Amino acid sequence: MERSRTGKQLTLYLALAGCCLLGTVAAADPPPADFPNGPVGEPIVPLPLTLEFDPDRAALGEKLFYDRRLSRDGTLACVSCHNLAEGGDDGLVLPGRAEGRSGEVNTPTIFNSALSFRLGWRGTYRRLADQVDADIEDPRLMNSSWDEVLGKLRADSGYAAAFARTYGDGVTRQNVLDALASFHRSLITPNARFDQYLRGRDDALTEAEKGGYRLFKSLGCVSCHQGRNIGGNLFQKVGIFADYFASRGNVREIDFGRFLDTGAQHDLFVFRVPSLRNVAVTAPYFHDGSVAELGDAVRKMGEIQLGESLTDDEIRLIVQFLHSLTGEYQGRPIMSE
Amino acid sequence: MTRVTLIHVSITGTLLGVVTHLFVQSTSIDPEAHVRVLEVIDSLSQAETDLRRNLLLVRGDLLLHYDTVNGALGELRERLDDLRLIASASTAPDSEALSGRFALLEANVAQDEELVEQFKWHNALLRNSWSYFAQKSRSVSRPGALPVSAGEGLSRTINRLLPAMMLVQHQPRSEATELAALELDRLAALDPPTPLGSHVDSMVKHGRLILRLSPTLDASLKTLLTSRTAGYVNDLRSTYLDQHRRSVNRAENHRVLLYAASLLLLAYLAFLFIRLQSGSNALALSNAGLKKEMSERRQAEDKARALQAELAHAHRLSLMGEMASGLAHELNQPLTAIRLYARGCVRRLKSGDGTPEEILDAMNRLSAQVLRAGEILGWIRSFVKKRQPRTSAVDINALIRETVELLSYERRNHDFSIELGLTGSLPCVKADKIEVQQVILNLTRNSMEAMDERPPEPLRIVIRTATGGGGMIEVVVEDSGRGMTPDVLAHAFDSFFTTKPQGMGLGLAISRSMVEAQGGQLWATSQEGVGTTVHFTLPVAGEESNDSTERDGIVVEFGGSRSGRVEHDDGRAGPDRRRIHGDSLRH
Repeated sequence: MERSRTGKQLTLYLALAGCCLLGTVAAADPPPADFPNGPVGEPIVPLPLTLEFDPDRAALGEKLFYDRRLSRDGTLACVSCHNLAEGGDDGLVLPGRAEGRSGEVNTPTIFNSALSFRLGWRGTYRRLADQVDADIEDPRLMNSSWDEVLGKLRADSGYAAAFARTYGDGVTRQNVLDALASFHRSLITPNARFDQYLRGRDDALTEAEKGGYRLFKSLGCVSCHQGRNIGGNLFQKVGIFADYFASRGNVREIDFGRFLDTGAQHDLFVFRVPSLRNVAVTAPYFHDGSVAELGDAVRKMGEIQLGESLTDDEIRLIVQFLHSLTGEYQGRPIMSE
Repeated sequence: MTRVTLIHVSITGTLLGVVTHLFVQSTSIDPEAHVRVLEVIDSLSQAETDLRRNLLLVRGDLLLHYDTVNGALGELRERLDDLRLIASASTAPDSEALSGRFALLEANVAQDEELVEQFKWHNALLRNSWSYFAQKSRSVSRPGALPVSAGEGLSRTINRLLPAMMLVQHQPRSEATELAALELDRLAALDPPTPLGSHVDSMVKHGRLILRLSPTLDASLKTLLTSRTAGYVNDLRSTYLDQHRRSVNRAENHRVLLYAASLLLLAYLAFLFIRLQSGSNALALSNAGLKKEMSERRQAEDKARALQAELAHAHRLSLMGEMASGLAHELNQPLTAIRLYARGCVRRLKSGDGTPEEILDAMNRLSAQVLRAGEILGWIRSFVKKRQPRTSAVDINALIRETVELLSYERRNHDFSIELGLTGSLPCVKADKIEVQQVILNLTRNSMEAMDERPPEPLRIVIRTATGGGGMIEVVVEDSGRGMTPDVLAHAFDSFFTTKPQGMGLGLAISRSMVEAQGGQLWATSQEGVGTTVHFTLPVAGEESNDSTERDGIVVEFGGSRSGRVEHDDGRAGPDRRRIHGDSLRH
């Protein structure tokens, strides 16, 4: 009896010692440590290399992401507009033009949107679940209903088994949303050259790109485009120093921005500041998709938001900097359409 | 008894219900859930503090992005969602106060969130404008930047504007703002030539924006910093803790009550148990008493039965005495015949003219008469024998015929006819045959005696059998005698009541008690001057007593002699209906 207890204690000590050893080994080669608020004095924070998510649930979410049964007529999946091979968007001015559906706003990239404070051009949705709820029933998008979608998914024995295994209570709205949200968290594009620069690799950027970044800061772009997503974390009015819509013409209801959600006068033409992550590969630009070239977009922003006419040199440098914001998905750089 | 049981059951049930209720009420709140709620509230408090700290960092340009502000807001939202989930799962009875606090907090957080959005938006603009203003003012105030042609005015204006703007940045009071606005207006009015002009334009544009936005931003910040969110979180915590304390107290009180109720239930059950035990003792005692009583009663019954048997025997002896002359005459007949046959034989043997066949025939007749005399003696012996009643399956019709044969001996003394109305194929009855015979003899003799003073009409006695109700066979003895007055009828079954000078007054009483001892009933109806009818019933013999050997016994004892006699006496055999006339029997 006494002997066996001693034996147990010995095993425990050995196990503890083993743990310590492993800990030491792990500590010897730490992952690049991030300051939670980014490098001191920098307004931009590198993207985390990974976000926490449950791989089983994300795998289910990935299947759903590619599943056309989420739409009534079986023609649309999430991936139809959020092409993960090409920037996480559809590369179109407005979605669904070809199919005669014609969405009202340009498709934003899905990449890194899990890190944005709200979703959609005007930040209508706080959670992915709210956005999916809306998209499922949107007549221009999935044009379906949860009853219909869940019915189709439940009829698939593969889904039924996988959901039962992963969640226990099978295919439910809650679980479908959770699976999609898990997959959503896997859609981040870390390790952009600019992030490498922020993490201390000075040679990750060319001198021109560094100059572009300095301009980006000094011109005031960074006032709004800051944080992990270089935007995507506040609202701002479109057209502070010049009326964007007057110069574009043809003002539609969708241009009213956040006003449509709050009804508050000060929210007229207010939009969620979009993220500039992967901006070089997600043309065309702005909520109306009206600008095809990144340089033109920068010029337009200077004009309406900063009240400045940027020179061609300034624009060239900033565009070069913006190219360094293209990250990697599954270890490969994001590609343009 | 049932009512008492019902009361016990309902009391026990009520006590059990009370104990169960108290048990449910006394379960205190899951400590893990309690800790979780407190943790969530602490996280709310922490997130609220984080939000305020981050807002200050942002305002002081110590934090150059809004991720952490959003993070704190997101945390607030998520913890509120957690609380809502916990609240929806909770079954606490007095949660109105709590949900009121929660609603206040939630509304305040939504308000804060809107303010934060405004703050971020204005702060971004302000920071942008400040950076422009600083940059442009550096450009214009660089040595040599201002051309001489620009004049003293521009230089002086800029020199006044910059300190005023510095003041606005550090102490955004209204005097500083007014001063800076004034200088900006002057600067705008100067309208310097390009390229200086575009710088000055920018300064004016951004300067004005700064002056316009600074108070708004600081007002937002002030509102946020003095937001009641923290107070509402504390209210929520204290309300929750109050409610929790009350729940714990209530659970504590219920536990005490539960203990008391359990004791009560235990005591009540103990009381019931003791009662049950004493009840079973009393039952055992009364059981013993009952047994004793039963054995005493059995002894008394035995004694009574013995007495009854004695009495019946005495009655039979008396009957026999009454029938003695008739029986003696009956015996005399075979004896006379025997004497004649014997004398005839002797004479033929002496004279020698008789053939042996003739003598043999006479001898055969003689011995038949001997047998007959023996039968009569045998019956007398069995009838007067002292015996215990013994029931067996008896063919009542056969027994009645048998008895009527015996009555035919009375023909010397009485002028009567007996008519039999016997229902065919009746089941056997369960009875003592001697006693039943005794009853019939007694009843018919009573009838004969009732005729004595009415000679002109010969007495008519009818004996009938029929199935009575309820598994009984009914025997009816009816006479056309003088009948009884109601007064006499009322006492007819009393012992020692008699209307006859030589009677003992026991016949009917004994008959009734004998019938009743065999499970039947005996009753009489009478009409003065018309006649008397006596009925008695006997139970039908069940299958178990319908033993064939016993019935064979009857046949051996009575049946054989009876059938022989009937053939001998009147040569007519009718199982269902026949008449035996005293006259015809008499020749």
